[in-house]
Amino acid sequence: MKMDKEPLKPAQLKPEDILKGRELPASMTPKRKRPIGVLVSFVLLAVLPGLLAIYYFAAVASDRYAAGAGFSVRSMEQQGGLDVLGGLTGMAASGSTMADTYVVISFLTSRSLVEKLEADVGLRALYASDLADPIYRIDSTISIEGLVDHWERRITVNHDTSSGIVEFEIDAYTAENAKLLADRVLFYVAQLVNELSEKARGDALFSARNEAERAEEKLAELMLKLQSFRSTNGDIDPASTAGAHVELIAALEGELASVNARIDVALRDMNENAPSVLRLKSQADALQAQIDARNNLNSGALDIRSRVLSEYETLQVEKTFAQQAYASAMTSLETARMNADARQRYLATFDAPFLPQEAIYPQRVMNSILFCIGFMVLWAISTLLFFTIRDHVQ
Amino acid sequence: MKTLLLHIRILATLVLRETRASFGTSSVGYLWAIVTPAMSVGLLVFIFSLVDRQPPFGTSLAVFFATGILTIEFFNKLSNTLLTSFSANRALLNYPLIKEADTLYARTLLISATYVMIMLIFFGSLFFADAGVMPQNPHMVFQAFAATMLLGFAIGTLNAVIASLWHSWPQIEKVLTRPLIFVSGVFYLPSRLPTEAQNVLYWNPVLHCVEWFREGFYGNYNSAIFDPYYPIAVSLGILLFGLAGERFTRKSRSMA
Repeated sequence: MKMDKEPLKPAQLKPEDILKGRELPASMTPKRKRPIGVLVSFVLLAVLPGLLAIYYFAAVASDRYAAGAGFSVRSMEQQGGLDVLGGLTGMAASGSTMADTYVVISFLTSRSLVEKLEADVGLRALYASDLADPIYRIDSTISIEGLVDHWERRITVNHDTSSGIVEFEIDAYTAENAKLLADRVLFYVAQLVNELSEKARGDALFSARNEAERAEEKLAELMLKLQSFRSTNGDIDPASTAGAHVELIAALEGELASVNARIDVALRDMNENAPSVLRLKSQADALQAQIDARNNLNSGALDIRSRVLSEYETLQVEKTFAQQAYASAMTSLETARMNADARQRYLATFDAPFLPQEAIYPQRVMNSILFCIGFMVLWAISTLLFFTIRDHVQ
Repeated sequence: MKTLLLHIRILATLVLRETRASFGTSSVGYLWAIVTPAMSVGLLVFIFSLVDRQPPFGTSLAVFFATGILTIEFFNKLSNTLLTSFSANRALLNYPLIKEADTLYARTLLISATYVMIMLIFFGSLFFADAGVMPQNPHMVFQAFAATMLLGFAIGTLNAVIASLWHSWPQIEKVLTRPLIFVSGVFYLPSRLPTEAQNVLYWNPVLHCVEWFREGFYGNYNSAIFDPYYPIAVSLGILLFGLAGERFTRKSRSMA
């Protein structure tokens, strides 16, 4: 209706127009045109896209089923929080398990997981399926990088930092596929956690085990040396042999002294040729001969004996040290093993994937409303911006 | 088309005028505008490195703080400068060509250009001093800058409108934005906070801008809280109110 009036007005105002130059029509026409322009732009920028969005969500968008799981990465270190309940009560996640949780979170959107899933269940084919609507469908020849990008949009990861709980949700075009994907993802996450755990265990044990092995070798080597020493010298224990010699001489000397004393006593009231004195004298001579013989023997072999003895003693000391080292290495290996056991990680799954019954995505009504509001706001802002430029015409 | 060109010429003139007005006629004035924020970040980094603190993320303390502080300063500068733009430019409005909204655009353009310079110089010198890193995702850094600019422009516009109607607003706004530096993740890693705290901080759009910058700078930042749609939605909503407010309160302003 206004369109009809529009051409008439300038014609009617012609006399004034001449009087005031071009100012008047310029200031009047925008006022007339504005409602129509605004209306047109409203239809073009707000109503039409809004309707398109509603149409898409009502008729085109394909159903997406979501399946997910919840778990937390736990270790033996936290006593009292070992069960699944511990994961739920929020006394979990300190230090290294926290770091492992971040590793798992990164893994969930990583290329390595996508490649595993592609090889395993054919991720590309699942998301390029005909069930997908044109906006969500991916090309079946998409590159792995593109697939990773797409995967990042299809998986939602939530991490509760105070309890260490990680939850993820994956959507797919059929309920079975959603569950299948969630199952496989959980499986690979468990595999990753086990690998991390094994590695941590191995690293912790490695040096302790090395140390124990070295101590054991050293000890065995010394035992062998000792054995060959004994067989070459024909003496099991040179130290005690030497001791026995010394003791023997000492005993002989003691006996000689007592025999000499008895000779002295006998000589007080007996003649030198008395038979008992003679017997004692011959006894003393025999003892002296024995002692001399022993001493002669010793002094001859003293060199060799002392060398053998010192060699033996060195070996003995080395053996004692090696034994102590071995014992302490075994103790520390045991401690390391206990530490490593404590450092073991495992995946506590408290929410295993279930088969979804209903397609919860897309949220058709909610999204339609949001899109309509969004377009309205955009239209309103662009109109207002346009007017601020338009103001300069006046 | 002609109107648009005219508008651009007006904006260019206003920007030049604003530069002269706020930084003085000498080039040293503008240099200060660039050096001051860079120095305040440098001081913070210096203090923290004295206490021998590890950066909460990445290898460079300077980059971590700078991504937070420069973003907040940019936002604050926009929202504060736009707040006074109606009252400061009243004399200009005697020229019929210049409208109040133009002063908003001009100031936004000037401040944005200044902060582009500041960031270039700061991160560039960090890089050449071997204390910085190249952004891993440069396009995200640009997006983050644009998002911060949009947010600052939106809130600044609304500020200007409110301030023109209610003269105590500048003081109240100052009080309200003071805690911003503490709730925007400048000194800490928002992703490492307890989930309860994250749920509260999520509502702060400036935090999302900071996280956006860091996502751009660090390849594996993996923010748990960052959502690019939130700051944009907030900005657009507020911008709508600001622009509509500017238009509908024009009469009452011109009378005042």
